[in-house]
Amino acid sequence: MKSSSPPIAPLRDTESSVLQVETEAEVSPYFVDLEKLRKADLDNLRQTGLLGSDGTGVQLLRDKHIEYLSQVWQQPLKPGFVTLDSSRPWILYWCLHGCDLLDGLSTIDDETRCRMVSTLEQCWTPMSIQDPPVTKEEDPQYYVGIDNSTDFVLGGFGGGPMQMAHAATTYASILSLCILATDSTGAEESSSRAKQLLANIRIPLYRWMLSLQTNEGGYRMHHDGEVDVRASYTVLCCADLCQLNTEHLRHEKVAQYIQNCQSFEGGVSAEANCEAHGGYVFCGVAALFLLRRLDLLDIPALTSWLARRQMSYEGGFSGRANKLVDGCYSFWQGGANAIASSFYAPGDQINDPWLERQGDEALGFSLLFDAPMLERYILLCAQDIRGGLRDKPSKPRDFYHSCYNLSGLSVAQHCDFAEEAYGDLEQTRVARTHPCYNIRIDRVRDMLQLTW
Amino acid sequence: MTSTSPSTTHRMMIPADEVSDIFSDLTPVPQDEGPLEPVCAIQYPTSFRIAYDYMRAIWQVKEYSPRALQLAALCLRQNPANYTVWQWRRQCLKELGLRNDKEAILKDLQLTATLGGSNPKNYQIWYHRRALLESYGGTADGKEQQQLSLLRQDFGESELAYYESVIDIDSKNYHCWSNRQWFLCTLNDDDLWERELEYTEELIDDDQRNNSAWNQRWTVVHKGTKNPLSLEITKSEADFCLTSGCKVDPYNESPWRYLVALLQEQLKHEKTDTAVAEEMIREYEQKSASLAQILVDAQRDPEKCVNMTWARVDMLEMAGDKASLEQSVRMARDLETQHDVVRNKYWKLRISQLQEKLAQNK
Ligand SMILES: [Zn+2]
Repeated sequence: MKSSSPPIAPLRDTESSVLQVETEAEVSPYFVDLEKLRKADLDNLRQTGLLGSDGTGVQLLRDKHIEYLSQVWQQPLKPGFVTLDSSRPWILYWCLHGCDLLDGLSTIDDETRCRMVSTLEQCWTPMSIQDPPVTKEEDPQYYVGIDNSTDFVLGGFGGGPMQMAHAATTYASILSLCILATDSTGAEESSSRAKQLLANIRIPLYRWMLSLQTNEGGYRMHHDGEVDVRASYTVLCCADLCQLNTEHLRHEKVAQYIQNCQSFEGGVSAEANCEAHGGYVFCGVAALFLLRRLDLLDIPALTSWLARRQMSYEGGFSGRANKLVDGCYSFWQGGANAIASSFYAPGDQINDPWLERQGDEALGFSLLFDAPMLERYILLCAQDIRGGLRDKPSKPRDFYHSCYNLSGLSVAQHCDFAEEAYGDLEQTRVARTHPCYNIRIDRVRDMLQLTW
Repeated sequence: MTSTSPSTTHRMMIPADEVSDIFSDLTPVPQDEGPLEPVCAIQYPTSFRIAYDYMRAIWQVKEYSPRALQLAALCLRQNPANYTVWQWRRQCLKELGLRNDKEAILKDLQLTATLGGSNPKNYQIWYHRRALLESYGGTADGKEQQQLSLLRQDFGESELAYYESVIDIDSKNYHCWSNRQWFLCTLNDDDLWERELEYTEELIDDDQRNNSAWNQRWTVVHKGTKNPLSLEITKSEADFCLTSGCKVDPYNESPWRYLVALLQEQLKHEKTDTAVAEEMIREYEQKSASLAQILVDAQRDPEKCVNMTWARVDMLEMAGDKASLEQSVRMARDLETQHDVVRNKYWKLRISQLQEKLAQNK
């Protein structure tokens, strides 16, 4: 592996540069050359589990991470979590997907998984309208199950029981249900309940998603809610997984709305005029990929912005120019980078290269960032030795950062030519996530093969 | 509904310990967790549970009243991210005919400021502000000039001052900047654009690495549109960029990207003659190259200044002549192999693209 460039001091100190220099100092103790460590120090590291018993390969604390993530279904969360009371499907998705990447689903019994499906079912919020926006000829999908009735049921998942349907929590719920539905080994009951729930809500969900679309081609996060590229992405992603992606949801103006969010820097922002940002760049790039309209973006500018987000010393990604490294961007920027690099693949841009890939065959294109450097940041700086992952060493672990560090690790390990890796790859390898949907590729494949 | 004295009608929030008394006429609605033991369950504090049980009761009977607004405020204090309560609050204000009432809106703006604290970071708080102001003085769509002047007159200064107070604490607060952009674009007032330009200059002088301020500057000079700048403004912005950004610290990414984007825009602009644009690009590439001296004077190696070299590679590529392209390949090669090896895959791609252009150039 290449060694990272030593940090260069700024010519003038500013508030931003001081924070950057502090962060470099914060991570530097993690970047010692393991081969030069004294035996006592090595033994110490072995005890934490960060180092394997024989070699010097850095390890992923798999069991500890699974244990940390499993709390969420084993015991109620502390009262401090009330500020996440409108994000309960998110908490479930972060932990379930994190476990799934660690091949840890087998540790969750069928009964517990049924509780997950049931919790999500309680978050489902239906409503009804009388005046459909499309005729039966224009959109037969909208009329499925409607005979003579004038009541059209719409719905999505809210953050908790009796909360409004919200695009982000709907996304988290659908992804969680896809994971549960497609893993039936030893979990027949929960898997069939998840499938049944998806079958029941598909059409109302479709109607609701259509009702979020604005005249300009954006989507709202909820009725009377904000319009931004997160909504475009989460809607299109759910529609795809449930095979609901009609021409109405994929209208040309939907892609144009996202195109308008590319900023002068080359990245994508929440809405037109805002600052390019990792979370939004992922949403914009993934949504345009799902629409097969990546060509609408200025790809050279995008690639250049994405390339600059990898920190030359820390190896992880920052969310925006002159901001600090943060483990969650391992996925947001890493995933966007994987998707953007598919643009350079030979051939047409119609298929999904990650789904089509057989086994371990190489993708026709490589990541445009340094995967081993990112892996090093995740394994050394983002892992909490008690289990769970974090933004950076000075920040506490949490479920969100655990999920997106692991997802980023998966992109780094699987979307590259994988010439090299950091650490003990046999031990650190996590399951292969799909960079657009961010659930395992085998799950996406299974979902797309279902007939409704 | 219980009778309330005028003083209690006007308070913003019900004290948590009075909730059961004030709503004694309603039956609390507990959260329905379904038939199985839930996952991601939260150990709600008692006051939280009581407040939300009555909130659900209010939703069920669709009561739109001052006391309901006060209860919503209490619920939001305990979880300011509950978008359902915020949305219901807007609905309630509407039902009470308060959406065009300046005093009522001011009170709600104050509530969002209080609940957000000095550095508010959640979507809901910011969207509430925006939604209330968007509909103020009329419908959200197709705002008439009259409504805009009312918005400016009643909230213009206070709103900008509020954003500024947040930016003072956190100069890169994403939500705050996006609200500020939306507000300025909605009012689209030349005086305000002028003032905002000065504001970005102040912020950039404070911290040349404040990328949000550079982004704001781009929005301001473009007045929130995608229309290319005039050649004249492009030059003055490019000069500002070099003087106030690149020269101060050539390692800083922000001004370099601003400069490259300005030049790129002119190159693509149909109204700017390509030869004129290319000439201007060569001029700024030269000026950029001359900044190496600043680094030499500071006993630094200019070769290791990646952001400067990167911007020059981009400018040489835009200049497009054979000599420039050849130079850009050499510089990109140095980045790939020596000075920016973390991005060597990216540079390999760039070099192959540059070589393709060179081949076409012959
Ligand atoms: Zn983060």
